[in-house]
Amino acid sequence: MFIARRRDRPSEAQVSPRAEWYDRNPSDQSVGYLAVAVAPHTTTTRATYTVPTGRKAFITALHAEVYRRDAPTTAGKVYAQVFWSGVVMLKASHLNATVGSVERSSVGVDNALMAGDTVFIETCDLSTGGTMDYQVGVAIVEFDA
Amino acid sequence: MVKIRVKVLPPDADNDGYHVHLPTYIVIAGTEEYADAKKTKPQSVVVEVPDDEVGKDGKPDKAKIRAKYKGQPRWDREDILGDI
Repeated sequence: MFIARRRDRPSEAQVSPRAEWYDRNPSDQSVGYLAVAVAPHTTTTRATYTVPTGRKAFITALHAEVYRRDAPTTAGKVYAQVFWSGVVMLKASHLNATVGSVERSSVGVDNALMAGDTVFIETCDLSTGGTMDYQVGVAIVEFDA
Repeated sequence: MVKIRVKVLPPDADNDGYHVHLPTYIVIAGTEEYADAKKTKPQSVVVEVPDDEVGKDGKPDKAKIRAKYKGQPRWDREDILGDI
């Protein structure tokens, strides 16, 4: 028979009546951008998520990939990035004219977002001619604050 | 999520790139319409927005957005959807 040692048993003060975050009306709010053969363009926001009032959220994973589909006349910097309230959290940068060249960036995180915090995805291609494919994803779980 | 076509805005003080003036949205790739022949200035795009931010008419609903983001200076204001 298992007998818990005294220090393993939480006192009344340690037991919170509040449910864990994953039991407080959680919902998937993931955002992403998936596109093929995109022509050069200036900085463009592809997706945005804002935490509603009375809610919080966790970012659980980030992924960005940029892939050279068609050769440019002149290769310029290409990137896909994820911003969190003005700070770049993840970026995949690419400077290569070779068709099939690719840059990827992925990370698993547990950043907590408060009401009003914003996450957004941006892409940019400063090349002349050619096209790129983009795949960017931000996994977000939202719950009652 | 509800798909709607909305106006694309140029960079401004709060956004360093072309963007849509909504709190939460996902752009549907390939739906961009441009203001110029060289396709350098996006004019409108189809986006997906959460169901609870859309009215019965299928368009972003100001009252619902203000309630969902109540107290947030950028979205809880009278003129939030003025340039959609």
